[in-house]
Amino acid sequence: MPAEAAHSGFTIEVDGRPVAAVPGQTVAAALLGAGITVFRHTPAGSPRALYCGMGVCYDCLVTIDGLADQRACITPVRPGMRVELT
Amino acid sequence: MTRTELAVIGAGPAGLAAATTAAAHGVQVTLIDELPAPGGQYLAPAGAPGRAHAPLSAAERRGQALLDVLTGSGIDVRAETIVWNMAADRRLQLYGAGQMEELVAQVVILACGAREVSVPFPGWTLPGVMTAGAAQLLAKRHGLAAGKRVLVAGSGPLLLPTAERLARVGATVVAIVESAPMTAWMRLGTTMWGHWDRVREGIHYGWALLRAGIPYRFGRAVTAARGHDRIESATIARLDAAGRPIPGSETAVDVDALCVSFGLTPNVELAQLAGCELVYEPQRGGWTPVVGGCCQTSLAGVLAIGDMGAVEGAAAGMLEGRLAGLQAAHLVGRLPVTAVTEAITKDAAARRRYHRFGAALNTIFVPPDGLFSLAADDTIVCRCEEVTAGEVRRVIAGGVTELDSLKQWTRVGQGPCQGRTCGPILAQMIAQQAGRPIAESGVFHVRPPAKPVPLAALAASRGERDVA
Repeated sequence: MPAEAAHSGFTIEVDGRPVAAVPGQTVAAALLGAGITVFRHTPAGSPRALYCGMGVCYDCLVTIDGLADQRACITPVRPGMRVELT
Repeated sequence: MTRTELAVIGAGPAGLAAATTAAAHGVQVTLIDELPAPGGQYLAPAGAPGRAHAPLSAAERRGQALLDVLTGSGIDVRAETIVWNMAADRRLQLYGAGQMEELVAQVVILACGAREVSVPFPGWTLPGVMTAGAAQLLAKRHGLAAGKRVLVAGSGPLLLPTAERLARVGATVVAIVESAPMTAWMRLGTTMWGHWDRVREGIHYGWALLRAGIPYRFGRAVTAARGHDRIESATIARLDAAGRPIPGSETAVDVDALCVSFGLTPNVELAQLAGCELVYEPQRGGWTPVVGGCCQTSLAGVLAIGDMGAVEGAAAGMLEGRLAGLQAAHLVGRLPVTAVTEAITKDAAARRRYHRFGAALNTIFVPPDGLFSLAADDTIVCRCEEVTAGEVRRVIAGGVTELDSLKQWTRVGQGPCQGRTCGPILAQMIAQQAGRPIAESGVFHVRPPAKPVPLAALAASRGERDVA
């Protein structure tokens, strides 16, 4: 990570673990940047993550601050944010 | 309830041009977008510092200039706000920052953009398989590569900047796999006349790919993705004239990401909800609002511009946006009609050029019919509700030939994306299997909320209205 990013960055909590984030990042980018490649499992059990990347397909849904089914691809990270993968 | 003179929905290049033009003529403007910042996907701001900068195209520079104008323009910008309903009388229901709001506008300009067209194939729901647009945004905004070894596949010019951008952020792009034959570029050739920016971009990308040693393969497609928790390999096959994979031509490559793109189709849901007349026009990218004159839809005071009206790109969108902004200023009484007609006449030739080029792109680089045979009977076509191709084919064989009936029989389109992804795919599957024109498959009926909003917020707003 560039020095500048480390300087202005903060952490969000993903399933109880700290994950590095920078202002302006989306939740999806923070997850992928931390090597988290599966965002959720469907009711049938298949893994899903980012697909359309622009808020259309609703495949990247995660729980954010207790609110279920939020689109990781267009939601910006905020300090103290809690993300739960399902 | 709030009132405004002009509501512009969508803050991409077209919406920005419309909003800033109208505001410059003294119109009160509310600009609404679901993204955190204006600019749309095209002018997505750089999120992560230290990203690899690509040189800006002429259209990108014009778009950036609009963003600069927006600052201090007095336009009421509503970011992270969803318009979840719209009525013919231009009553808009908004949801943003946890709050519901009703906004009534004298004029509404719809600039909702377009989304990528997908073709289902075995493994297309695996993590690591994403649209080219998703990969572009990750690279552009966040300096992130979709994977270490990436395959870019589909059809159309968008594949080139995607590959270039991926290479720029450190990915090894194994190949670009284009389903059209190489002659597709020659068919496009004559319509490129006059689009010198595009020609320059094309040469820039072609040169960049050559330098990076990225192979560009024509007449081929990715027929399957394999992997456990994410894509580990992809199968590439040569296509016959109908676009069906040729048996025995398959090769497998190890990749950890696959970026697919088969062009764009307009986001028409709000126009549908409001009751705008729609038409199926492949040259414009699929189902679009019927528009005439100055981007006027069939509803009074409702205009549709940019990729939502016809998929023609950012430069065309900004031109239309400016005209629509002038028209809005006229409609609310700030500008004589002559000012609008003069501008329309002045830009007529440029608009015709954009239409011609857009129509060529939208009809040359499309998924060939044969590609819809890639989905095996156990391949999912509706990603939300996990409905398989086999289920869909059985119901079509049973005589169901319209999207809305298919929805009732199989649950397709009933998930949170409301058929935005599977709709165009299913329309193709019906048309091919039933041997009917694709327009007869229809389009999914849209019901509010056009995009999901929390039930609690919906209930609270209903309660408030009851009290009032």
